[in-house]
Amino acid sequence: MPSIDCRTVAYTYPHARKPALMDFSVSCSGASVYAVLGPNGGGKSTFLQMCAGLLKPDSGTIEVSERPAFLPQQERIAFAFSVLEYVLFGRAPHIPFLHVPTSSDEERVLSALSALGIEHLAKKRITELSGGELQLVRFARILVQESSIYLLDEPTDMLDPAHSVQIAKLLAREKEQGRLILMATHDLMFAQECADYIIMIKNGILQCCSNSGACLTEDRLSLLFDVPMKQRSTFLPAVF
Amino acid sequence: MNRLPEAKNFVLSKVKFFIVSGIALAVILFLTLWGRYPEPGLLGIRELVSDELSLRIILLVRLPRMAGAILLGAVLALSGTVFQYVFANPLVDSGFLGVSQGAGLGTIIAMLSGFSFAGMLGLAFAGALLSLAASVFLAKRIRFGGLVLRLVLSGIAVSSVLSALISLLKFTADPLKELPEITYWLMGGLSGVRWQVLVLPAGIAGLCAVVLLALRWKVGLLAMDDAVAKSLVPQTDKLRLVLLGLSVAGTAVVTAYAGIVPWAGLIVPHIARLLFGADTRITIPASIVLGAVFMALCDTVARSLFPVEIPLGIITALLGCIVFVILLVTIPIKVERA
Repeated sequence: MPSIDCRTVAYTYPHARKPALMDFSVSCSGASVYAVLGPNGGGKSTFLQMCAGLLKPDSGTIEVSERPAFLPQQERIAFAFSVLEYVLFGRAPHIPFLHVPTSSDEERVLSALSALGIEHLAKKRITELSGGELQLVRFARILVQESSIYLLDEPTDMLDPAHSVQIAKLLAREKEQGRLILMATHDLMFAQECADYIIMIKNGILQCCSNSGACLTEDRLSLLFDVPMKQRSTFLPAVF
Repeated sequence: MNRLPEAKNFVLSKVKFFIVSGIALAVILFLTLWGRYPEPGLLGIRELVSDELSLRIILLVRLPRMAGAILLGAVLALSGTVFQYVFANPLVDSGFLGVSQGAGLGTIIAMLSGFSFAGMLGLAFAGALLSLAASVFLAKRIRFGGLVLRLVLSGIAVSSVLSALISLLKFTADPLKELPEITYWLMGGLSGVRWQVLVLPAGIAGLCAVVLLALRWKVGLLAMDDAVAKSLVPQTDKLRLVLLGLSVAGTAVVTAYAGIVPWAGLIVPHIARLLFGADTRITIPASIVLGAVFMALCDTVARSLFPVEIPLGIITALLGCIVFVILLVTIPIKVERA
């Protein structure tokens, strides 16, 4: 069963005055979607990067049951790879040191693109994609890693409602297949619709970790974001 | 069974690569026979059979010189490609991080100290590696930015110091004997290259090239965002240093016999990407072939355009710069996206 177990983790960035995470303990396991919520600079991305093994805690321990697939919030693209070449890099954990990808790796990439409905983009250069298309391509790179744990930093950033729905459906499908998904997001509507559990972080301190019904209340959200929050009806995609 | 569309694409790229390699081989053969003996033009089979001197010139002068040009161009282009992907920056080459200046400084010290060619090679290698080590050491102490930005900044600083040291050595050199030798060497050239000169550089550079070719796909992976690359291959920083070390070693040994030859390591990878795309499985072998033919062409121009030989570095700078400007103003592909 996929799991992430953080125990009393603390981390301060080099030369920073304040710690990014303090006495942070949280356990996530099983086929579930966890939304990590909090204000900017609260510690969401630091938490995900620690789970991805990109940062080492100053104290405390993090146990991750297997190598997770990590989607950073943004990424720099220096060369005009084709979409297929770009997604193929997601197969790196499965390719031995001095080897190159095989046709079976390419087949997996094409089925991931096809699962996202973007197989027609396979030959296109990534520098020619729209923001939404690029996000879906980055998702395809997550899928081909075949990990049971996904760490997604702002997965719906820059996406229009149609693309957000597509990502939501994809997350539901991946959860059904037994995956543990942690996503940092500012999109409260998306979190409400997709997440089973909510992790709230502010100033590097865990505020709440519980099921979404218990965490997503007006009082808790107002305290989290330091602004009065009120539940209102709004326009939503019909599938939500 | 239907082939995958991309697999079909990759096969087409391979076919294109073999066609380009065939053309490159024919061009190199043509350039070997081109020269100023007995008169400017092409040496035919008849001359080679009837004139013993022509045959000796081909076997003992032009062929080793051509082999030297091929090795130089192939290594500089290969190293340039590796540097561009490792630093995720299409505007760097193997002279980056003070490597060329380091190799240059080592070679000049060896020249002034009267070392043998092997000693010169050793000092060039040591100079280049020390430059890389100094750049990496400094980069680790810079307090901001990711590894790539920190290496860029430290590379600029180390290059400047080494250039100053080279100028100091030139200033203190004997103006009648040593200074012209150093100045001419710094401009690059292959006029003194014979078979025995090439054995050691070819062995070292060949070994580096074999490992780099085996790692060609991983080279492309390093052009990904640092967080992505590290999440896919946790030993990314180590891999980056191994690739840089191999590229530096190759650059140092060819610099020792050919001098500082600019631009090839910068523009050849661009031409390779223009012809074959960004996939390093093809781009890296293509850079080797195109680098070889580019340098063969430049050296042929250098030795045969005028009765007096022009330093190779001048030709590569002129041709390279022209090609670079043409590429910059004509390529329709966006190369970077924030």
